[in-house]
Amino acid sequence: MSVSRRGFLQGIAAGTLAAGTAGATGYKHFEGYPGRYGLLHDVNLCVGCRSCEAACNQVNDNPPPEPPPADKSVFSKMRRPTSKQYTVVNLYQKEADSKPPVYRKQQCMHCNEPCCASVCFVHAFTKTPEGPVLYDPSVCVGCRYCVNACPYYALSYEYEKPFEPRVVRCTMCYPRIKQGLKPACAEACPMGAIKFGRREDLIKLARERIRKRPSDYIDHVYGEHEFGGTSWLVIGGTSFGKLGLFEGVTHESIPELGSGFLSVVPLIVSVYPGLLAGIYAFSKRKERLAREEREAAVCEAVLKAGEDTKQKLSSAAEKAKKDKDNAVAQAVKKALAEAEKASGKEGSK
Amino acid sequence: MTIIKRRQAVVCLAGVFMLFLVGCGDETTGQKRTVGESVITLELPDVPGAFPASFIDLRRPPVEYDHAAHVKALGKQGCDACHPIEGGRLTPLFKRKTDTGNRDELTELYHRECLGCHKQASADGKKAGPLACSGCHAIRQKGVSAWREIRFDYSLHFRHVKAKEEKCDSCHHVFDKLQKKLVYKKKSESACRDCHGKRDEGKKLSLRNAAHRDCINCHLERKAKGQKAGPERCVGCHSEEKQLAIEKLPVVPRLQRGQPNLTWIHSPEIKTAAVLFDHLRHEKASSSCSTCHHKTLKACRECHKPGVKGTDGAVSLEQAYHLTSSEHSCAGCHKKQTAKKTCRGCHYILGEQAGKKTCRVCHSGPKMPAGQTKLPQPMQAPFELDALPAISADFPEKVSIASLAKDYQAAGFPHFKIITALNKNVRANGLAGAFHGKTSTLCTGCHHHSPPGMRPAACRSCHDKEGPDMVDKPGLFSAYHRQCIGCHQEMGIKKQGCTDCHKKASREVAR
Amino acid sequence: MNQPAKNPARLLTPFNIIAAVILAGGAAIGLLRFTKGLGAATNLSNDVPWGLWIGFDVMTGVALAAGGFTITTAVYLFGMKEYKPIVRPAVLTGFLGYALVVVGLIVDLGRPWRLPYPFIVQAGPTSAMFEIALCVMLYLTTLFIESTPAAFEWLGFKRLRKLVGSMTIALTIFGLLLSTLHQSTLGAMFLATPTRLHPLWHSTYIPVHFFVSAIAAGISMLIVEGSLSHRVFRDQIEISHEQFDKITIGLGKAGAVVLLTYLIIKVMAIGLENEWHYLATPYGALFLIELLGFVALPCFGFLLGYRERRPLLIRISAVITVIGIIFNRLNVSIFAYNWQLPAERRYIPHWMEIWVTVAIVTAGVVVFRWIVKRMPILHEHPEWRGVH
Repeated sequence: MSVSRRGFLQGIAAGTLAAGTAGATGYKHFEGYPGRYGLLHDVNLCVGCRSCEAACNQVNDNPPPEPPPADKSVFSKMRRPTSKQYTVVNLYQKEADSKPPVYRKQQCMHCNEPCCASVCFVHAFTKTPEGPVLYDPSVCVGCRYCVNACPYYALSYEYEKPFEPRVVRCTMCYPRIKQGLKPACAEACPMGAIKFGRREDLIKLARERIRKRPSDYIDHVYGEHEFGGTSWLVIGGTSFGKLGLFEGVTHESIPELGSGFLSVVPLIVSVYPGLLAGIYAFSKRKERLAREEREAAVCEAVLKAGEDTKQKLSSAAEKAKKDKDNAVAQAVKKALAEAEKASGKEGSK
Repeated sequence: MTIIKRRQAVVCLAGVFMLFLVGCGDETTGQKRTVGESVITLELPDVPGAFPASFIDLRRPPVEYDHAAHVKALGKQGCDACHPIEGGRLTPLFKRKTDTGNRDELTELYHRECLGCHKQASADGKKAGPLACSGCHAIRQKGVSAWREIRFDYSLHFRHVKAKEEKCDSCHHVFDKLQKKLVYKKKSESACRDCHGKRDEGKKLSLRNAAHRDCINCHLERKAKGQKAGPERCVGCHSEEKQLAIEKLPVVPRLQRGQPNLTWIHSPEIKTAAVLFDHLRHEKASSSCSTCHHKTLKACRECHKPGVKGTDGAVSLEQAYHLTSSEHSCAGCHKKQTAKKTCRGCHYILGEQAGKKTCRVCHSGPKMPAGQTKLPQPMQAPFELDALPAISADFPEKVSIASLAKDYQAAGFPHFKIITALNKNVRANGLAGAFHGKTSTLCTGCHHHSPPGMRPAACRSCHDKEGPDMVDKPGLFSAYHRQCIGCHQEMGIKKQGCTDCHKKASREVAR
Repeated sequence: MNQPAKNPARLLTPFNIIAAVILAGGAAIGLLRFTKGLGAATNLSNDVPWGLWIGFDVMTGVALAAGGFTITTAVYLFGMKEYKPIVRPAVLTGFLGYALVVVGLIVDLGRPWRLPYPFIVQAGPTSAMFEIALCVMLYLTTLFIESTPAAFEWLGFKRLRKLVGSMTIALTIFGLLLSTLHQSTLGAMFLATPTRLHPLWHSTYIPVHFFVSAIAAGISMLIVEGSLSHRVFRDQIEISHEQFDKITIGLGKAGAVVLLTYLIIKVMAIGLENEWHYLATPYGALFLIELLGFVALPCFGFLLGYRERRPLLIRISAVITVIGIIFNRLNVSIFAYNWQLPAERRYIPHWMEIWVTVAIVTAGVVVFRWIVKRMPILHEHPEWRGVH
């Protein structure tokens, strides 16, 4: 029984862990690591020059962006980050009337409570106190649940590698941040459309910009609360739905959305054995009672059968005796009658 | 039960379910419904307390009445089939000459007349309107109305003036309280909406009813006489398409109503310097009087009181002149002009900032001590338009922006060429010329946060580093690009690519 | 009734030849996948990292292997002894099914040699997949042990046979516990993807939907696989046709109840989140086909078959249900997933992916046949007749 018992305990341990980390801790709320960094992307300032793409590729040892930044034909299609290009700039609204075209840079949003970190079953992702979400390729099994679940389509996988495929994405230039530098895209943007700083300060700055030019901005800082909030904040004059972002989504983070179910797991593990053993016991008891009843009925039937037989025997015996007596009486009568007849005949001679 | 009967039951159920689903799909497809121009929403005037609050949601929705459809169906009977004639003119009201405003009377009238006609038509075997409540009071998705308000501009007004052979009294009147009747008073003509409001007030009809009565009847009369006339159908005036198709006269003589050419804008309670206002020039720049005189043709201060900021939406006198968000205020209209492509390059970046000397451009008159009303005769001094200074070290022809050159070479900035172009734009526009008389004001477009004057500060003297996170001061790199590319974007200049302004660095220079 | 060794000529039956070709091709593609990377053998992309191998081999495979826990619970916990004859084939199908799920997983994972990492290197217990991995591992072990009585009988290991026989109840309880967890958690995986899965399939109750449909899948697979075995392995069957038909009809009744429950909770899920208007869209049509054609219709078929005592109708309904489960799992993982992506970024399986999937199923069938022809699966071992 060794496997089952160990497995049992492991299951309970895992389930409890799951419940604990999945937020079943009641009423507390964690605001996030204070002083963590973020990036503010002002869509009104982005002109689609793609210097950020070039800088990102250079810093991450990827080949230069293809087609090169000067080629505007790249904007005819929507692109997404790939394993060789961790960020892309897309055109969302063409130039119209007197309005300039609208571009936006897309990359990993470094969420406050990342979906990728919560769905990874080897805990390959970590949300650092500085803000970036980091990936550890040394434990990754390659299940690609993270790639499948990310709501921003930010993750890519190295399908072309047979032995060491990794999940790749923007890292918010964590090594550079640790050295006190800015992420490469923020450094490279000529328009200052990407501003790097402490997240709480950037939110205040974003609000200030919106307040100064109310007709140029929509009064909403995207990323402040969406799915629990992201490190990457976006402001602009076009509605966010038109920029390829999900509008009106819940402020609950994605780990929270799934935690309700995971907290049921230890419950099932603890309740099922007793419940099912009980059901088994009940069914066994029913069987036993049915068997006992059956046996009792058989006994009774046998007994009754025995008595019936006895009665039949005694009445048959009686009848036989009667018959015999009758027969004897008849025979005696017959004999007497014959005797009389014989003596009558002899007398008359 | 046999198998056959069971199968039939299943098929029936399946059919019902399908219908249910089709019905579901109909509900919300997410698209807004368009309501035609000729559709009138028949709604009773809301009397507070007429219904207990709990009843209000139980009421049927207001009727969307399609006037054009009824005209199409019943037009042969003539307009007076529904609109009674009074004094030789059709009333704009339905089956009544005046409105008492009594809800029950109106309800009964409409129900009696509408349903009565529908019943009659249906009895006659003709195509008829609905007879059930929900046929007219249909619960529908909220729709977007295509109805557009029609307003007179100078051109359209002049066409009417010509048609009526300059007899102003054919349309304009005032109500004489003593004589208790409508009279014509010369030099007191104003827009209909100055007196006629949203609702009928006794004999004073609402704007809608008054306009319909006068306009449509006149058009019908002219049409009967074979003269060129305006529309009589809803869509003729109230559709966007038809409004855009109205003929615009190129030259319209000035409306003479005793307005000044040049006048002071000044209020006795106010100590600020008076504003010299060129009324003639502003007339030429607007499409109708109501661009500024949005309520009455009186002066602004007759309605707007100084210092009064009401919770009921009352706008103070100062706000009336200076509110940049309003279309009727001086500052608001001027601000709208800065959104023109030729102006926007600098004004977009400046945002709400106005220079300290801007006020003087308008407030060029004398300061009156409070209480005094006598001002000297206004005289328009021509706006001084400076000439551009000569090219010098303080006003260079080209500036080589080289301090950040790394991946690209130094940018050769055509300083003189740009200022000359801006100056040309400014001189071509009277409003711009008034504000940019001094060419040093052109410097503040780029050299912002710097007092205008010779030798404004270079960008790098302030934008040496990026400001702290909460302060919106970009570093020098972003400052250059935001200023230049931003201006080009706003003014529609195509040069926005990297190599349009600076060549790529040669191999020796890079790294 | 064990088959003696066949002479070589009889090995080259048409089925064997085709199976050999499929398996050889599958092995070759597997080799390609492991030497050139996933990109060489699949159409997976960054937008669609989970394709046929996860959608069918893993998710559908787990659902269709649910017959094991269903029937052992019914027979051993609820005491429905009349279904005893189908327990062994069901458990064997379950074991093979789960084993093939693991094979499919190994082919699909980027670094399958790291599969034990969550348990021995670093655990990520916040993940639904962690719980699935743990439960599947334990359940595979459980099914394996539950399959050993037949093997031990065949091999003549009496003491071992007695030992595993005594563990039956515990294993059944454990099996139901693990199955409840991982069947529902397969659905719970999609709670983390609210924007990507179409609202008609996504719901807070998706774990319950998956669990109930898994039971329906299990029951239907029992009927389908049982009927097929009865045809193909006629000579192994001990029970009479009448007895088997009775079992089929009984299973049909259960299937009707489960499908009806499933139908109700699916409709309820739409009502709860007021998603009726989605039914009028193309995805709505897909959903309705799935719900009406592959849930409501077989439910009615089961009901009718039960009432009219028609095993054929029940078998047909079971086939429809199985197709419906496959359809549902594929909808959730592929067709209705990433529904907001433009068409050119959606996914169509590579022919190599389809071949590997078919090869995996073929392997299962071949192993099943090998075991059934030798071990007392479809009949009782003479020495162990009538024993628990």
